[in-house]
Amino acid sequence: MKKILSLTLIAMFLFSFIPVNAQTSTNVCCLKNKNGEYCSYAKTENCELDNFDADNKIGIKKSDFACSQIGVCEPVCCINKEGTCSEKITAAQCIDQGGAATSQTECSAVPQCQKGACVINGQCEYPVTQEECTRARDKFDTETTFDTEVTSINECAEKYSLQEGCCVTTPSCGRKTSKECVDVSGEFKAGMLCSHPDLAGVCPGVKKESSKQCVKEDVYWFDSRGNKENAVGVNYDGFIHDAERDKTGKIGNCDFRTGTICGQDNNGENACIDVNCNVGDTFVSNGFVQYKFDDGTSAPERITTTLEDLGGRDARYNGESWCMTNTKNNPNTPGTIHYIYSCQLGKIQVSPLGVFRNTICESQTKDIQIEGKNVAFENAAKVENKWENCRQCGKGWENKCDAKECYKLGGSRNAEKSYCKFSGDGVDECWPKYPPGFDFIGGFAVDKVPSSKYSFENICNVCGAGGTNSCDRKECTALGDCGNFDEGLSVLEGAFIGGVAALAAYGLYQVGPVTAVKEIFTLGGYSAPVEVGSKISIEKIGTFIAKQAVASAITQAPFYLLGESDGKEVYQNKDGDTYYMSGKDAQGKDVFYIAEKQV
Amino acid sequence: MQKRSQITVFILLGIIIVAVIFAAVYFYGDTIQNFTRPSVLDASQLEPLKAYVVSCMEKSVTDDLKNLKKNSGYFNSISSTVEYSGYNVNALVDKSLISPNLMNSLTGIENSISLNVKNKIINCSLDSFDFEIRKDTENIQVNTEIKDSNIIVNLKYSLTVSKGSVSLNADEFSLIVEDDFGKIYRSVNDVVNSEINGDFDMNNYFLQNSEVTVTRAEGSNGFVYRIVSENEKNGFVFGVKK
Repeated sequence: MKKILSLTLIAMFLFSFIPVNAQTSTNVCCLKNKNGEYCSYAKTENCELDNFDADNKIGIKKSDFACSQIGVCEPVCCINKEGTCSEKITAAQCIDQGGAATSQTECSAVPQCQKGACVINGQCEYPVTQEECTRARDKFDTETTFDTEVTSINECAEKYSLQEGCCVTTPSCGRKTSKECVDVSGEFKAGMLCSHPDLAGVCPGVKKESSKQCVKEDVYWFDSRGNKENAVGVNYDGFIHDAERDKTGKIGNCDFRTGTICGQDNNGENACIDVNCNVGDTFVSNGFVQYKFDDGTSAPERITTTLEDLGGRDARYNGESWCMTNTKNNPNTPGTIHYIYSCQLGKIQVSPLGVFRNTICESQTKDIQIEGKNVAFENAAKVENKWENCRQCGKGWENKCDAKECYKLGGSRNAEKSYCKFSGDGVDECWPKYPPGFDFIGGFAVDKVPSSKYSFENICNVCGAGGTNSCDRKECTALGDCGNFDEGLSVLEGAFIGGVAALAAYGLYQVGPVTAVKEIFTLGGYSAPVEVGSKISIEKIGTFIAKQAVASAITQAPFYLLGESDGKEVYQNKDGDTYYMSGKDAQGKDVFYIAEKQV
Repeated sequence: MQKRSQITVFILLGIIIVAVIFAAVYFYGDTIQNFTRPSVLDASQLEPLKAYVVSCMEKSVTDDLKNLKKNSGYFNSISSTVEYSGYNVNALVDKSLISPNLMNSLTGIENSISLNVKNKIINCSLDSFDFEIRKDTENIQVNTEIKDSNIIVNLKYSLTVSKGSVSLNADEFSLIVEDDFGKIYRSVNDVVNSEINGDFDMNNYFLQNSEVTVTRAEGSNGFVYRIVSENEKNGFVFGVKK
């Protein structure tokens, strides 16, 4: 027995040396356990030590004391990182999850946790905490309103929504949203028009449906105080009827998709008007004011659309554009300006292009479908007048301008699309389709080097540089604003007329009354030869007739020149008794004749 | 005679060598060319790798969301539970405790998701890619943001991909998971805060909130709530322990 006892004691002594991890078997208060629970009793190894309190704000992760004795395990009102509030949560959980632990247990005592409505850009959120509302303001960088008096989302919507009604204030009434009315401390009459008969006492003198005005694309009635009422056509009952279903089918409900928009009709009243432009439509031209002499008032000028305005068509679709000029001449005469006319929501808009036709208007027409119909839709655009390129025609190695090259220089092989037009009637020249203008008001000097391509020198001085080297009216006009061309005969015309005249003269000379004809040819002609009978008159001196040829009479001693006429000269000798006539004979040789002065 | 036969042998040997070279070029030309050609690596070749990393993130996040909804915002069972039909549902309110509110904050849940993504990414094997990939696992950063209808996860994880002498870097990955978790969480918070101060008024809440549907069932030691939304039919389940 002694032996057994001794062995037992020895065994106990030996076992006492075996290391025992006392902690593993002990329950402690884990501020966070492996399951994510906070302030729970667990074995030490189940305490979360790594992923807890990374910032070491709490300081402890487990404790041998009871959780109820640890301060951070006390319940608090926590303002979470996202702004929400959690009530009666452990401070350890609050802090570990990034929240701010308050000194209060219940959140109702914490101002940031007050619940209410947060109005962000007119949108209500309810219920949210004040902190959430503040964070939303910072996040969206916008004004917010936090209202603790609101107790439901509906109340918030009613108070802060954009619902309109009559806002009764002293001294006036006006249509406002509920929020706007709250801001001015008015009494809000939801859904009521200020002209409602029941408000006659508080809004005196407000007369219903006094004028029609455009509100966006629709036509609305306005009361006598300028407050918007309902769309024209909606039956008046003193209340606001702005819903789409209230307006459907009413005459003030214009619809752009079906081709109507609010604007002034032909009587000058606001109404749903056609967005397209039609002959006979009248519209107010912006910027033009007509003065009425009768009553001494001014009113915006009303313009009636004509067939000419619409480029020869009865109607133009909204958005369609076309080209116009002020002179209607082609090729463009001096002063011609190109314009783009367009139909914009029932009105014709006019856009002038370059004064010197440096920019011109060109249009294309395409067949498109509008409201199920095939229509020829024209589209005009401002383009640069590339007239200069036309001059390059014929400057290539072949040194001959042809139609193909001319059109190509104008940007298209197609004559209609090219900026150049080819003149093929014997001259083979390439001219601008739209002759350019230039600034001639300030004058120009032909000896100056042109500083601009829009100058007389650049535009007109090339006239006659074509194949036959002659400038005619057609070319002069085609080149640009080159002034009033004083057209002589063309080369062919001149040659023809000259030829006929020469033949006739020769015939007369040969067969006609010789003396008279000779007289005509010898006396009247500027370069008629000097021969016997040649007659010239010298002003204030007298008339002389050639009598007899002399060899070289006037080469000797002094003679005095009396005068000269028609290439013939008359001399007098020193003694004053003999006159001589000099000139050229029919062969062009110098000849001298003794002349007789007629009395 | 001996000399002639030697020459013949050499000629035959030469013909065989030429034939072998010709055959090698003919049959393995492309392989040889690829082997000798310098490696080319362009950014488009990283796209499959990026997509794979994002798929690892996505798996982690969707698994987490499933767990979080099932376990009341926790990943595992906790000590406070409500028994319902044989199941133990984690209780977010345990009225027997001094601190009865056991609900994790949204930030806490976001941090948990981020931590799991980080761990998942480290173990996301990239061995199947024919590149030499250097991973910087020390500096992984994950940020999760739970919004009403989606969860945005941004990962900063430096991967240097090399092939031959060329290397490219991919270090930012982004994922958006469509889920109503945030929307549902708001309602859970409303219910929890109401339960802590008394009882939750289901009817009033139903009238005020049309985006979620709250159902309540009585368990053996408390209530079990289930909150669903239009896009989240399984919903978020949690208990309120008496």
